[in-house]
Amino acid sequence: MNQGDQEMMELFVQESSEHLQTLETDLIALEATPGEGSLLNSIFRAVHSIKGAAGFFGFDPIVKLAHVMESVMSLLRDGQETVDQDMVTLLISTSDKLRLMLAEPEAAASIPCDDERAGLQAVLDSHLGKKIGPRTPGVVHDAVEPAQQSGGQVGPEAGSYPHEALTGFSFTAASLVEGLKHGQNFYVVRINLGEVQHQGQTLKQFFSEVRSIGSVLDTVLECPADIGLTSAVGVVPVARVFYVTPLEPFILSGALGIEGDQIVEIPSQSLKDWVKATPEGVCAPPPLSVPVAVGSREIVAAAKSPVPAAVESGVSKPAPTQIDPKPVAGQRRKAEETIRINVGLLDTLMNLAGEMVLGRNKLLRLAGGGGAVGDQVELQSIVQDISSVTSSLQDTIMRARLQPVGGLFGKFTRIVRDLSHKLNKEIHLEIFGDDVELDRTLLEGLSDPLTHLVRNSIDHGIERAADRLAAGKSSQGTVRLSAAHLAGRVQIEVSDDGAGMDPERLKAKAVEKGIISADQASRMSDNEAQNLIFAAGFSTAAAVSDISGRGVGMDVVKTNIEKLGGHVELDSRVGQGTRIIIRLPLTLAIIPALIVGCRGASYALPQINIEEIVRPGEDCPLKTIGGARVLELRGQLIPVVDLGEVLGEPSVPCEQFVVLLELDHATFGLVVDEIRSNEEIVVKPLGRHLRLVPYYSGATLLGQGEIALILDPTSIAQGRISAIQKALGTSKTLELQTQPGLDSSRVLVFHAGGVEQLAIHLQHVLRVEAVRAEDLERIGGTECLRKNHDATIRLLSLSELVPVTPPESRPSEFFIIVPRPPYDRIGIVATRIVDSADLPAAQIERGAMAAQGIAGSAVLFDRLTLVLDFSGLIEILAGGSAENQGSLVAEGRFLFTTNPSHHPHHQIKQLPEQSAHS
Amino acid sequence: MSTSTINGALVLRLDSLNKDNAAARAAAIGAALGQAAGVLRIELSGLEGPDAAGLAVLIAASNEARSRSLELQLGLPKELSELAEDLRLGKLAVVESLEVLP
Repeated sequence: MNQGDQEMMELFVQESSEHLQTLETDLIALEATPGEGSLLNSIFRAVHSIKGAAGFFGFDPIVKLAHVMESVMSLLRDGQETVDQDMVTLLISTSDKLRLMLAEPEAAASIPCDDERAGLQAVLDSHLGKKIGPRTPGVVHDAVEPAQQSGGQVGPEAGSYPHEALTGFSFTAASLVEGLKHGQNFYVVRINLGEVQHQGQTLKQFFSEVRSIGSVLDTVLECPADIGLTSAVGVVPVARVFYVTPLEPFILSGALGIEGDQIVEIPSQSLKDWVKATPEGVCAPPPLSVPVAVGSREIVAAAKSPVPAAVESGVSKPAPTQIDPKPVAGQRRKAEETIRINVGLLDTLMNLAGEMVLGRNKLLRLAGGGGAVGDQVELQSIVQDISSVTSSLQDTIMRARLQPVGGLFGKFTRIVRDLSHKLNKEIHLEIFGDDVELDRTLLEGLSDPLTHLVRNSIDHGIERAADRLAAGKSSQGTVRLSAAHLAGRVQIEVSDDGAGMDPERLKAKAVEKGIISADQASRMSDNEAQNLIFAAGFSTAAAVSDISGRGVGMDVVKTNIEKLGGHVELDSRVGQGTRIIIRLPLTLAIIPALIVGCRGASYALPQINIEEIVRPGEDCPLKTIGGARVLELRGQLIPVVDLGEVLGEPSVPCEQFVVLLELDHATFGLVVDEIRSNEEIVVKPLGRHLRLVPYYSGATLLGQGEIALILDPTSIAQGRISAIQKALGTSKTLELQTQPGLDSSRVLVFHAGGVEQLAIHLQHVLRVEAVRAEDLERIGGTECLRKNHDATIRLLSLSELVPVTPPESRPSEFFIIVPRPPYDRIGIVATRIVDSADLPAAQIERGAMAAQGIAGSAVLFDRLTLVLDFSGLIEILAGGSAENQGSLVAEGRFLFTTNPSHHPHHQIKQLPEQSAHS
Repeated sequence: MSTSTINGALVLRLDSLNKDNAAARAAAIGAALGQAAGVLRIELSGLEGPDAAGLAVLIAASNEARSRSLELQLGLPKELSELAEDLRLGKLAVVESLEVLP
């Protein structure tokens, strides 16, 4: 196949795939509105186009299947058959087979479609009310055979073809007898009439030769579908000739000057069998023997024709098949290598390219001018022009890469239909924002994750009708897919109004699967429990099915979305449903980036992740706590990672900068040596040899011609931040300390070992650490946790400070709530963390429960909860027993002051810092 | 190339139909199809018959005639009767020998 043929073939596959997508969507819509004329017409046109194009390429199995489907569509269109669920299922199943055939058109014959063909044929039989003769297994059958327009050979009965290659030809058993009797050979010869002429022969001369060495039993002229007079010019028809001759294939090939692969030998035995079985048999194609040039009218005639077909009776429709609508690899490859672009955009690109050429010509002229006076001014002018054109070119090309998400969303109508039938659930799919555009690379990457999410919503989310009714919902569940632009990103949501996710069930399953311990489960908030679904290997499905339950889906979803530069959020409410929110950048091809320097090399950081650039100093010092480096910034400790250390470069003393990077609700600082520039960079993939190296997402060429590697903040953070978390004691550390702008009404709800549920305002909390009892040390009757050589946290039991029940016993693992500096050397003991919650001041009942250290009470998570007054606690701590105060001072770590300018209450200062600054 | 009306049929006479004149012939046939009422007869008098490009035009004409519910007749010299038979031009139009046409 030459390049031109290859391109045409790819175009055929792409267009046919689009027709199939239209067809599938319309079929599903037709199920909801049977008899809708515009849908029936659209489906008919789609099938007809596929058939015609396949015929042009000679893909007979595709032509045959499409033809019988087209005939049935004709009956439906004319109201002679009715559309019901079975019919739609049959047609969708046929569409699936066509899709598979299109994936490898040359091997289309290997796709089994007997069930579909038999089902469609049965519809036609049922319409005609006449069935003739037994159907030979494995023999290709055709749809209803009409009379020829003129000069036809069709008798009263049209039968099945004795060989697949003969499809489309008209002949009778009698016409074969002579050749069979003399042991002649039967062939189907494919003749490109244009090539005949290139060999210097007229058609008359060529066919004269053909006739001299054998007999033409029939000829089919093939042209592109729906060829019209305006489009006929330049078209070269192909003749398929059913031919009988005494010559052997290789001699025939030489005699006619035709390549051997254009000659198909028809086994004589199969013809003999056929003639023997049907001595008066007749084979004929649809109305005219120019299948690819067949218009719609004769199809109607075919359906209306009283001529019976030789097919067996009582062929049942195939059972609904579960076909994965995801295109197979080959088809996807071919279809995705091309995109359709608005012609206006192409015109704009062409104009811009013209302007670039003008700019280049000016530069060439200038370069050849020998540096005359005034060249510099002209050069600047040319550079400005080229810069402007380049920007426009970039914008236009980026727009060309954007594709509406509707194309992706469209495939879910089929998935929802199939799965709702399979699971016997009533589900309605709502799609919003299908015109929102996204870079095609992102769209491709989004396909699999969205499929997982939608399947999960249907399988796990939406309840069965009876359960929904019992829960006071409508019997029909809703799955909603939406897309919207949001702050320069695209937000895609998959939501359902199903049962939601029960955190307790998720915890139990996670414990059962060994993903978390029972103790960890008891300390998890509801949201944390729901996020367990993103853990590798997690599934609550009781049994693995072909829909879900292997526990790989959500893990893969999260990973794939993050690879696309996006992130996933989950919001699920028991009994109300689940929302999964995906946020993605618009494009990945050209991104704004900060160019930083480290150990002399340049690196690009995607600006989308950058929150702030900080130069460490007195106001925001870099510190080491627990062996982990942190940046103290506006009262928060932010973990930092040294880029040089990450990359294994030796440290060099220099002024450094910290780039604060935001990742999925966590912030960390990346220490770099230099801030060099801001640039829009073109992302180039890394070569094969670098693909497995972590920390890099690609490479780019900077303005000065220097190559810069593009850093992947997620990858850098994954390895390093977890190490810092370990050093600081718990993974919760970062979550708490990095939540930006903590709302003063937000409280942390916990238990301290007694019967009371307690709450403390999160604005006072630095972090929560998990602690093991065996790690504690006793100093002077006080329990301490030694973090490292210079930091010790003293544990405080609330029952010693405020009127709450003392714990009966302390579990082997528990928590400490560490307040923000300067009180970060004490840890309030908690045995269980319930969750965080909003608690506006007005909702705190400051009556009977209020006491020193307790602001009042409130109902949180259905329980009466004592709300701690942190200031009061500090007062108690500072002005309490001499023993407590003494022990703090004795440790040499805290100085109690009464300077109100430092703190509204008592101030605790670290002595080492105090002395260092004084 | 000329047109006339005989027995209600619009007759378009062509001396040849090949790649050199396919565009013009296609346009003429298109125009004739627009004028014809019931039957359009194309008479091709050249003894060479249509070439591949001419065949494509005939196929297109056949399609358009069907879509307009017109009957298409094709008159050919008797020297081309075997070619017409081998190519099964009868599937495109009612083929008749020019010698027997009125």
